[in-house]
Amino acid sequence: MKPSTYQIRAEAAINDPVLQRALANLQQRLGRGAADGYRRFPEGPELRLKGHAIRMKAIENLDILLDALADKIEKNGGYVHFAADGEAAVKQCIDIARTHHVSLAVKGKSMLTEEIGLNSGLEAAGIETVETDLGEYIVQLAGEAPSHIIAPAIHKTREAVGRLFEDKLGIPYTDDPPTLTLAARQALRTKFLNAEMGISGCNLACAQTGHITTLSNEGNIRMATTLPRVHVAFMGMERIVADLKDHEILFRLLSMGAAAQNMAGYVSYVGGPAEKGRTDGPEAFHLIIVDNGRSRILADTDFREMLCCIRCGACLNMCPVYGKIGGHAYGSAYSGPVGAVVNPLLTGINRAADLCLGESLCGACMPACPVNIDIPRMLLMLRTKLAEGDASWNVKIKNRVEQAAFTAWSYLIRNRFIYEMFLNGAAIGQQFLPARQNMILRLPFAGRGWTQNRDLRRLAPHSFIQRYRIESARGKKDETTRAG
Amino acid sequence: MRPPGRVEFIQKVKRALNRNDPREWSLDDIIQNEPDADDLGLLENIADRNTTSHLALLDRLIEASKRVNVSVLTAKDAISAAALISRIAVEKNAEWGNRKLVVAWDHPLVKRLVIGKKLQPLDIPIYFADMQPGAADRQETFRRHAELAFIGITSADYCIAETATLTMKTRLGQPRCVSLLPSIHIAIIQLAQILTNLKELYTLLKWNPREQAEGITRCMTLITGPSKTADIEATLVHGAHGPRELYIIVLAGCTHSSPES
Repeated sequence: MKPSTYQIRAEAAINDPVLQRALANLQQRLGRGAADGYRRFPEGPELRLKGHAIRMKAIENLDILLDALADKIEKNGGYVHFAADGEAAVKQCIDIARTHHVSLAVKGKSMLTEEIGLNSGLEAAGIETVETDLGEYIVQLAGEAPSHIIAPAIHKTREAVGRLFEDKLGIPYTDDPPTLTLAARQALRTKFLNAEMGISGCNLACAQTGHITTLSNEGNIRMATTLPRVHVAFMGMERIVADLKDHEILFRLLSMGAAAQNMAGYVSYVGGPAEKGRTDGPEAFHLIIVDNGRSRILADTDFREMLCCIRCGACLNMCPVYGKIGGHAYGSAYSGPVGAVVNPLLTGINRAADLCLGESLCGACMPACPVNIDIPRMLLMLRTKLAEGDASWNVKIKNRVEQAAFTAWSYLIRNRFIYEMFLNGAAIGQQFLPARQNMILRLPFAGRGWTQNRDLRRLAPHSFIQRYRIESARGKKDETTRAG
Repeated sequence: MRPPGRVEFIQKVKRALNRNDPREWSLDDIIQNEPDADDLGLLENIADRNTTSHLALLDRLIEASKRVNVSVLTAKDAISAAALISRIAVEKNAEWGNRKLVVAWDHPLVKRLVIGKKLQPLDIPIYFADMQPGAADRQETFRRHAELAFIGITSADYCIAETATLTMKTRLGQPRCVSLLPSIHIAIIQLAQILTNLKELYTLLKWNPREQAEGITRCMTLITGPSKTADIEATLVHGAHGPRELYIIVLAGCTHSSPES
């Protein structure tokens, strides 16, 4: 069988020592940091459970919250657009850009815009679109995709960034991070000051006050939402809570989960365009609320919980699978455990089957999550659908041979006589397999994958039951001998 | 004009939630509309603070500021605050233009410093934002100055001790770019503006009558530390896009014995 893209990319990542070091360092720093941080909350790590309850309540009242948010923003002179899918959302953004004669747009980091392919859409419409988060900027210059939600350029070394900037920005080669950051600061400042449109995501809207919020450490999102004439914000429809009280708790959880910080560097509440006659702030504010498969997740109570996710990336920093294969293997803006659940649900469970099958079910993601989402439960449910098929999600059985094999196995182990026959047959059959020191080196047929990276112990000459019978028969004989 | 699609979108969400309830729920039905005992207690605590408790909060602020690379300076009055600023202005270099230039909010706390007098002999001009909704060209001119400035001086609504966070709403005379475009951001606050934690801030925003009346404006910003990034090999670098240095000057009204003062 031909290896899948997931397998090819995962193998490449595992064989890249530089990436392995970077991933280990990231997990050590952020993963450990967030775990310590949760314990330092005055409310203790239980604050995560409260966060979960707040998110769940918001999701279950999503219709009310979205209506209230849209009313408030419209009252403040903003426009709220509702997009059923990614294509509609991109089109709305292009229309807004055309109305305002935009030729240059600056962007803050937004996973949603990666999900819907906004950049390529805008570029195709002739609108230059510049990523301004340093990591995203590096990745965009290199023509690559982000490989971590919070640290998009984690896969690039300082030398690689140095060569990239030498080539694209025309600066003398250096591998000094402060010098490289300064070069990006200067290059992007011109873009910020000249852009007609700023694009941002939305970390968590507040229904009661009618604001979206953005969090960043670099200040790029403040620049993109303050300086250009037009601000377009993209928001996944689930990224909202009811009131300020909920926000206070979730910001602390989000900052800790994302970057092991007590508080993100910049938090902005944006509730509409600037009032007339102000020095800065956009003249026009558009919010695009995107469904793109989310209402389907909402409708399934088994997976509704996934909409609690605030895309902080904390689960990536604890996941042993992400820690080895990195973000690119997942083939999407959403990698790690969150990606292994969200991608199948958004793009098709069969299509993204490798992602949920590749996770180890170790359960490390759940305590890492600032809102305690039960990702392992949902991974298992996805795997069940792949094993058994599910018409409601259009899931076809992933592997009919595997299913047949397990059906046969289940029949076999419930029939003592047939099982013994199988064991005897296998004991003979294994003689013909290549082996060393009582270990089988290669299994034939479907078993080949299992022995690709490990050896298999040979079957013992006798099964436990056979041995038990022999031993007890021998014991009895001894007793008879002694008694006699 | 309302963009189309909203009704269908919300209907789809309702169907997904399986809402069969004939009643139309509104936001008020699901949020807390009156302060509870905790909120009232907290509001009372904040209102009852005296100088001693404010000074204790200042100590916590100074402690927290070290973790996020913020310099908290205390000044006993406006004159010494102005002296602190002019010292920074002398020491630091211009970044965006070939000359030193300062922009500032038109805010009573900032104006009280009469900082212009200190900067004039240094040949450093200071430009204040317009308190009146000005003509477009005047606003444009101020923004050009902000783009070239090396120092931006603001005040803040509050400063949170536990995280060293400044909070500011958008008002006339208080443009956002002053805390964003210059290389160095200096915020001047009074001792009584220090709060303990985010919870106090949010309780005030939610239940304090003055805050309620104003709302959180079209843009409210919380600032914790100077601009920073760790996107190249996880190396922390200050000054990614926003200011690379942040100073908070606390007008303590008395001599406060802190290492920075």
